[in-house]
Amino acid sequence: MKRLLGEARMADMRTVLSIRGAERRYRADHAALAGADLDLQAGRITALLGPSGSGKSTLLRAIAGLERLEAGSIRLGDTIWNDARTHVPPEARRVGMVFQDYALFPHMTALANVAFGLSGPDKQARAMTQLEAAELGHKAKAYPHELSGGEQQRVALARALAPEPAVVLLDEPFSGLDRRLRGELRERTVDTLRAAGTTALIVTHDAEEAMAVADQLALMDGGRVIQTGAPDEVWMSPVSATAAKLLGDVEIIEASVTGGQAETPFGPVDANGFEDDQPVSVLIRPRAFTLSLKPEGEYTITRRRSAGPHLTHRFASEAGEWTAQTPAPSPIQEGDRVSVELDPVYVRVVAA
Amino acid sequence: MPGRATSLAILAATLCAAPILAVVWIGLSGETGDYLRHLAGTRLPTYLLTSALVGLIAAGGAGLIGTGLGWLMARTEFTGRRTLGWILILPLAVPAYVAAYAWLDLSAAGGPLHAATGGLFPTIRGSWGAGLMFALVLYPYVYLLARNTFSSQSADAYNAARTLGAGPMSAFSRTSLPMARPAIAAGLALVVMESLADYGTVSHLGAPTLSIGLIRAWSGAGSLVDAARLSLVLVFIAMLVFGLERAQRRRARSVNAAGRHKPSPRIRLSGLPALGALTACLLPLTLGMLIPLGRLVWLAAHTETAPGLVAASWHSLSLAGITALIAAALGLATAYALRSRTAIATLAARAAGLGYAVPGAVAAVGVIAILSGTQSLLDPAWRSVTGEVFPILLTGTGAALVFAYLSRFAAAAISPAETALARVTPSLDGAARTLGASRGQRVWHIHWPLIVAGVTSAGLLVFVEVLKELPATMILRPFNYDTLAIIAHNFASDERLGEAALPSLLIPLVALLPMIFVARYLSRQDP
Amino acid sequence: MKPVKFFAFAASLAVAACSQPADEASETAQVVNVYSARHYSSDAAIYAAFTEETGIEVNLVSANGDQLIERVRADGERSPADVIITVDAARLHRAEEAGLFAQTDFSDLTDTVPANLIDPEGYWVSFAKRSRVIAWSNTRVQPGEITSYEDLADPQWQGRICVRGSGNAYNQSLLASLVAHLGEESAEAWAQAIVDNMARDPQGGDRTQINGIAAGECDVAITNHYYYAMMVNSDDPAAQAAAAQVTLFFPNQETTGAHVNVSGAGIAMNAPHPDNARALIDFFFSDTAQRAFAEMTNEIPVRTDVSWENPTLAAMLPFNEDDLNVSDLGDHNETAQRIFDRVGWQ
Repeated sequence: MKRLLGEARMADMRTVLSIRGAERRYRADHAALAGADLDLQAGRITALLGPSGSGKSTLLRAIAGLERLEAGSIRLGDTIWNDARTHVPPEARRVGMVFQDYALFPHMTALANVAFGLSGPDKQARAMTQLEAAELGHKAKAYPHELSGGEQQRVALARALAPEPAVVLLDEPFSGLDRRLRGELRERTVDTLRAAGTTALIVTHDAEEAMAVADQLALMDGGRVIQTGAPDEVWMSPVSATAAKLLGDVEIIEASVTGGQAETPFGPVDANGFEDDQPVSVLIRPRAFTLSLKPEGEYTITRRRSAGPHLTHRFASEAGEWTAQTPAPSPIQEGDRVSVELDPVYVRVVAA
Repeated sequence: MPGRATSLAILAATLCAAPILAVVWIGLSGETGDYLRHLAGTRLPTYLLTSALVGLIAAGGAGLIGTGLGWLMARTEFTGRRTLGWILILPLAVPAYVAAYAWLDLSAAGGPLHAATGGLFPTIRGSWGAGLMFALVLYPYVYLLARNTFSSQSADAYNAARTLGAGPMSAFSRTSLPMARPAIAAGLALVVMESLADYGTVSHLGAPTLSIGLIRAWSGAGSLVDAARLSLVLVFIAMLVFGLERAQRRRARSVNAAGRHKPSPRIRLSGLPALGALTACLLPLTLGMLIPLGRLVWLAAHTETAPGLVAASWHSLSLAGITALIAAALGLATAYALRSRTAIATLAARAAGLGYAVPGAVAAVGVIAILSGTQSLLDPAWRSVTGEVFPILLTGTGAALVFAYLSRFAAAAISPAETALARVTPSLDGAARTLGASRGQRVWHIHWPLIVAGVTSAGLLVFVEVLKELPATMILRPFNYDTLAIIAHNFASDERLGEAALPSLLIPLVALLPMIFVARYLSRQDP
Repeated sequence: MKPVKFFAFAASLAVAACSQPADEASETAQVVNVYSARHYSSDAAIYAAFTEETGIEVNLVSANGDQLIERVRADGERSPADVIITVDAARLHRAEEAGLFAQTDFSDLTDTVPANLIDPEGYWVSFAKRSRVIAWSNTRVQPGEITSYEDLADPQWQGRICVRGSGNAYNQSLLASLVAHLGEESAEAWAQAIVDNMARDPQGGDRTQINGIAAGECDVAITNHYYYAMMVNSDDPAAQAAAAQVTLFFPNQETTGAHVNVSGAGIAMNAPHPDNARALIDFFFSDTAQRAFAEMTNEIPVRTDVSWENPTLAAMLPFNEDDLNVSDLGDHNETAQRIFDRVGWQ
């Protein structure tokens, strides 16, 4: 039932929360947020991906009201949370937040933690329902230190969701967990968020994780949101070298445009509408390279590494050295000579 | 498991407990008449009721002031905060009876406050007055411990509460405060015990607590045994209070277990809130220290300066300094011994803490009993060799004084050290070991930076306590050996407040010296 | 490093402190060890004069009387105490009962000191007196309204009396004297009446009570005579002004005499320097010492043939003293304490 509701909301793509020109500096010379813009759509999960220090946690805390903006605005629908004059305190915002260390109240039981944000006579019961939904009903009386890391995370999520917030913010919610548990919990969290039909923002520095959970992906760097869009779309069409690097390994070749084409050592590629003589960067994902064994091949394999379902081959010529991702198994060994072809699907030309 | 160092610490803690155990023994073994029965039928209910009232008011007041200031100092930033951080401890150096003498003098009928307000200003007296005095001069116990806790507390819990709909006050009272409760409880335990063991303040302000009954049994009825018996009640209350505090502390372990600590940014206050914070700091400082000492100084202008203050200052400073160093070391050693989790270590540490419970005069009797007992014990052997009486080596020496102080104030040294050492988790030790750190390196490079604040706080508390300690100093001191507290008390008890002014003023001034030293040392440690 | 220095210093202090009694044992310097419950400036002056005159150094420990008794008792035969001084008859009595005093022949003092101030068995002598008297408001009490302690029990004083707490030795000794004179029952009735007549719960010291009269909170107070003298002789105008509104009255002049308590001394049972001790006690009766008591602490010297300058004190003298032997006060001290407990005198 709830799930249907969530999907219905997803369909209308209504913007719930909009952030414009958010600025916040901790030191005079360093802006944590330097004019960030972001929209969150109703019922959708947005992943905010960025390297550490990019300002993503600050943006999250600003949305929660835990940081004051120096400039810019945050609105929930028609309600202004932040602008030049306004700063709505966190408790009046109806945001749910899952902290990186979960911030469970150590002196309260799991149930009391979940009930914290609730009011009314039935709050215990509602908290219990929430806890049971997280399959933690049997741990209701346990204190946080008696719970495992994964259980703590689930209690934290249940606590954030219990008051039915307008937006749920998750700050690196899986970073403290081991890899296996992380994948499992990630799925679980996404399911929970979808079931609740909540608008959610998840901050992470893990590209794989971001793409796995997100309906919408937002890339952040230097205190700005540099690109937003569906994960596939962003992955396929990064707007800059920086954006591309955030999402995975990429080879960057500086080139200039001639006749609508950018020249690379592997032949010309479509210049993506850039005009002649403009300096551009050609972004090539490692999987764009197709290597073929050829005794007279132009390139020599300098390194071969196995990585399970695929391999990475490092290959070099006088022009340079690059990395290719090739499907396993592969007969190509270190020292072999190869020829290289480029699959244009995984190549993108952006402004230098 | 307990190694040689641990055994030594246990031995030291046991030594500290010995005087109190001696008092207990005097109470249980001595002959007694029907005085206690008489007391039970007459004043005992009043004594108990007043004790409860005074203890509650002192705890409530000190809790409020100490917690509030601790939070302000730990979590906010405003002009003057750094300086105030240490100044706020100073009222602890004002003996409660000095504050009481000054305040009663100011506010009683005929006093300037009474006259200036046409009698509207209430006379500071009775249980309320005494409780208030204790709150004003003892709040630093709570303040110090609360400040440490608030500054090491992760802000996330508070923030989480805010995002869950709790306003700033509500979030504070539902998360930060309960998380700080063990530390606050530890401070309050000291406040309550010191209030209940006090004699000078309550007798002057007319608040008949149990210590009054106890001293009366001794001085009025001449029965030390009855006094010792009554002090059993105080020892029992102390065990109860410290027991409650332990229970809080056990929960503290769970508080620290969950969540990683993130340094939380201070809230920067300016304008009106900053002014409010400043006022909040200055108010208890003014009431607990500036007004009473100011009154004394004003009176001093009309009297001659008492002689011997330089020597007394030196005596006070050296006694307090030496005791503080030993106490800090003892507290730390005991805290390490407690880590061994052996029953004997726990027992010794808890017993050592009981010295706080008993009025100083009675505790001093325990010290005398132990010292003279030791001398008597050595006497036969000495006689058989030399043919003479064993010389008086212990009573009336500086060593005896230090011993008495340690037995009385060990609790103030052990508690903070224990709290501090709790920050050194086994995994830290493990990490250091895997990195090849020797035991000494671990203690110096890992433990010390983490515990230095707690340990120096402990030393400071003991330092200040010794500065103002009176009954044990009086009776155990060497010949011709005055301390500031003794001179102040002699004049004050003789109702020569003017002459008492300068020595009273010198006590906090002398206390300032180590505070500045400690503050500078700690700020160097704290990047 | 600094800690090392500190510990070295600590050790040296401990050694210095420990070695002090050892020096005494060497007997090279003439000393007398005094355990005194008095802590007045007069005494420091007297000790200085004593040393000047005799060459005997005075070593002093002063503390509360009960504590001193306990320390001497516990140290037993190794106690260094030569002279034990208390400020209250009950404490002298208690020290005597604890066997701390050596019997001494004080008969040579009887020429100048009244017999009731010397212990009949020769354990101690008194060298200065204090009287517990009545103070009243110049405006609200007429002379003649009160003549005795007993008068204060009259219901007409209801809500008009200020007095300090009963934990204080002065009140205990006053009531002990009433027990001696009137019997326990009447003394208890008197104490009960005083409690009923109190203007406020007991608080503060004797000066607080005099200030209470000056401020109009009460009309009558019970105080030691020298607190009043101290206020009159004070440099503080406020204290002088308060004293000026109050009259000091020595009661029971027609009957038992005003209640008197003493400062007294005895030679310790195991005194290492008994001769020096005797010399010091004799010195307390010297002109110098007697004069110091009158001039510096407003106490009443036991010798009447010594001249001194203190107009305030002189104006109070002479008066009829209660000549009860002060050891009787000691005997009745516990009874007095129990009466206070029963009548609820805080």
